[in-house]
Amino acid sequence: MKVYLPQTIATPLTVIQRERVLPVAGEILVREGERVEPIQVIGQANLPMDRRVVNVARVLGLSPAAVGKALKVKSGQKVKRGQVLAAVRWPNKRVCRAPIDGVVTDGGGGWLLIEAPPQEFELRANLYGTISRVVAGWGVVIRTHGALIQGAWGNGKEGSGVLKVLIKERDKPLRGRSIDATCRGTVLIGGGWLDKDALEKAVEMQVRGIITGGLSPDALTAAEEMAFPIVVTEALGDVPMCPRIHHLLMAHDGREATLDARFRTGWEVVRPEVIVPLPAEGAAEALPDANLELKVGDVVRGVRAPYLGITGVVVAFPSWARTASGAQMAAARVKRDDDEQIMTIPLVNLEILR
Amino acid sequence: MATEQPIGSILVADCGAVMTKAVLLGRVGGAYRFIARGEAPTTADAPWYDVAVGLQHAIAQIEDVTGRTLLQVGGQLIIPEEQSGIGVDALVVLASAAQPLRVLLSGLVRDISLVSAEHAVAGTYATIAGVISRDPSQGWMSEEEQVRLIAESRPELICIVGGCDGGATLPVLELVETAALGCALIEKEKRPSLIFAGNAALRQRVVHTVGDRAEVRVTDNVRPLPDQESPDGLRAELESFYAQSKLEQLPGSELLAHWSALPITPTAKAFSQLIHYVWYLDESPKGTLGIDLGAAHTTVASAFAGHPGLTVRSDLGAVSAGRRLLGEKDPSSILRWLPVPMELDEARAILLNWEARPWTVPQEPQELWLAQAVAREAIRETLRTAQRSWQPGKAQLYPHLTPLLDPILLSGGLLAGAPRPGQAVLLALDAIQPIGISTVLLDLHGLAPALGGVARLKPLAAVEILDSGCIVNLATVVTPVGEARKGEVVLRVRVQYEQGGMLDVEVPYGSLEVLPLPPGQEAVLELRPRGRFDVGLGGSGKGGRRRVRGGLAGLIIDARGRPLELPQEPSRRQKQIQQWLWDVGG
Repeated sequence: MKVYLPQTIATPLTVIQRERVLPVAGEILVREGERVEPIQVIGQANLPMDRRVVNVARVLGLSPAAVGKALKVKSGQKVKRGQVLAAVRWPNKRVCRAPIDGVVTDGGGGWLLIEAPPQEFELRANLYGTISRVVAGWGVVIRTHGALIQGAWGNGKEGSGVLKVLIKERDKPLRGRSIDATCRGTVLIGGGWLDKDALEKAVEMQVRGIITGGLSPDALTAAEEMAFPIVVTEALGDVPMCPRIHHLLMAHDGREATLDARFRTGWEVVRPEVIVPLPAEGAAEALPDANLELKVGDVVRGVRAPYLGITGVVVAFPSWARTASGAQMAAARVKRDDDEQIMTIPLVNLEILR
Repeated sequence: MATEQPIGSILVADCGAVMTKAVLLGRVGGAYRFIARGEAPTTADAPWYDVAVGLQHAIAQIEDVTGRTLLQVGGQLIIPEEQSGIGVDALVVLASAAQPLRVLLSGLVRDISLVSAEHAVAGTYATIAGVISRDPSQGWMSEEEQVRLIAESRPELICIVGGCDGGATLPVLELVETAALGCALIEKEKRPSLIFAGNAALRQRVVHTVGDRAEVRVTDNVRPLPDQESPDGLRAELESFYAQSKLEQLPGSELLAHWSALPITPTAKAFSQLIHYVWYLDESPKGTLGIDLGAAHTTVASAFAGHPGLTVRSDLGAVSAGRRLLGEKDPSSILRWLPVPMELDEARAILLNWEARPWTVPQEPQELWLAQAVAREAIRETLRTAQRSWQPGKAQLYPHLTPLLDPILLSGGLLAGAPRPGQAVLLALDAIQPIGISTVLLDLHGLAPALGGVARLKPLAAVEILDSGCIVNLATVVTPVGEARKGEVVLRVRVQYEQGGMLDVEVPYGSLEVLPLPPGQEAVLELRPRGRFDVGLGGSGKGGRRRVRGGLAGLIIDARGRPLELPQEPSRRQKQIQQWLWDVGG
């Protein structure tokens, strides 16, 4: 039976290439071959801010065709809030004023368009590495070597810091009482899940990121609002971290790591990730293999309850599993990493861990 | 005289948002039959960016099951079928893997031209990014707000409607000017196109007004007269735009288009074609309804008196709808369908996990019930959208209830994969709330869109495969309509089994009765409703005899009342839902 499963990468050493792109066209400040650090500004751009459309014809009581003669400003001209944009003296004196500070950028049909001064945006590298490619005006590709772990959920933020293993057991939650002053400026590695108390304490202690297996459902909203990145490796819920990822992270206690917790589902999926740059050189870049068929001996991970946070090795497939909900599904027999028990897990609820 | 192509084997590919299915049809014993299917994750997104890869995986599964070679070593599909039996004669490609179009509607009157535009948009994979209305009843929207809405909502298409032919001009042109100004604020490469489907007399002035600020297409007025709706032109224009800007841009689609005997067809359109086709099989005075519940879209297709209807909600898929519905609506609309208590946070977490891994299947009962609760609401919402454009005629017995529908076809992984048939039928009854007598069909193998696609290439194949029983009878449902006290007998039913035996049942109001009638068996139903109750046999109190077929869930008498009302008190409601689940064997 040919089975193609989704894949997650959790690898100790690989080549990593990441794009860093400006939201709008701007200026790239680095060159190919240059080494960069996470906080280094590598590009900048001007983000368009407020825009206002002014219906000059209506304000002055003119037809659109007659507005041209009444205008006191030109396209491209800077204006101050309250400045007269257009005026008529007859039959009554009427003026049309600028609603904001800005630049007149367009007009026509009796209208004027005023754009507020843009806001400067700085693009940071967010990664130790070397610039391998520059796309002029838009972005760069940064190349590095290290461990790469793809997550299951992220709170949308980015950052970096020194990894600190706080909970050594992968199935124990990260509680607020475990977070103390020694955590300041670090990226915490929890074992299992995270609750609201832990988030409050993390803010107080100014941590720079958190990696956990799960996230308590009642802490979801608070986690989304945190200013620092949070990467959940397994799933939302009180879920332990899977053994393979837990071992991998434990091995890098004290190293600097980058967290990219951007996360999008649906169209154009974006997965959060943790990168631990290493001095050793990886072999080829770890990418999901387009034609990777499931085979006996593959390492897999359960991605749906009740098998969340379970990893193991496929010992046989196809098999059949009857689930608690009563469905009968094609399955694989998996030898668990933690207790070496053999479990039968539906194929659709497995992914290959590479 | 035209002759049909000699086509023996047909492969249908359906590239969905989450999974890609391949279905092999072929001639067996002189008739077309369903042979095998394969399924693999869709590969339109990172890191593959090639939909052909997912299809090749799905085809490889068919090769594995049948032992028949369909692909060359390099992954090329072998077309046509060779004498040795390798390859296929034709490939038909359906797709819903592309992102839906983001459409902004701009019109004069909310309940006239804008409603017609909404009906047109509902017929394709699209989401409405915003609505600009000059209707004072909708609250005044300044030109500045209109322009800002366009610039911020970043539509791919702006549909401007308004004015009957020869009617309003100035306000329509003002809408056009505002839209053009909004377009001018957006970078050229991301600028939306405009479709003008308003007052036909203004077409030239519209093109002139917009100038080079945006690409303009014009089509028939959606409201040529105040009381005449004509959304077909706009619908066709939207379909064409979707095909060009979305389907043809799917990475890898050029290879599929090269293999395919027909242009790539939107899956929803193929599904609609099948439902239309099914209606023609017996030209029932009732309507025919199809529900296709996909991970990213819910599709409702209908046919009343031969007129097809199609509604796609690209914001309400079985997976994608959950978090949205929990966030935007009163969360109780979802949670009320659960037979057990569940905290809102827990529900959000389960649904968010599913969104992150949409190919997975619920295993725990609580997760399954939550998924089915979301499905109920996704179908209900999509039906609400669809019903606005239905013209059911005599099938509409009561204005506030669902019209008479027979058959009702259910398609989609969550429905076909329900662990027990009773769960699928109860989900459909709760969501659709049919009345009278309906046969509920289940597309167990996910063939329905494929057969719609095949019907365009080889109509005989679609008919023969439908006849072969690939789409199974889930249940025959009788729903009496009327008001009574709970427990009062409202219907007497006599079931005369064709294979012998008889069953008499008195049905009390508020109950859900399941009578045995397994698949393959037939029976004659004699229905005698109480005076105020209507079973769709000619009016209140009118009964009659009907021959019905058995189904996986048997014969169901749904006397719970229409519209269905759930107990307000949570524990009573949960007990009631659990009881209904038990009643149907779910």
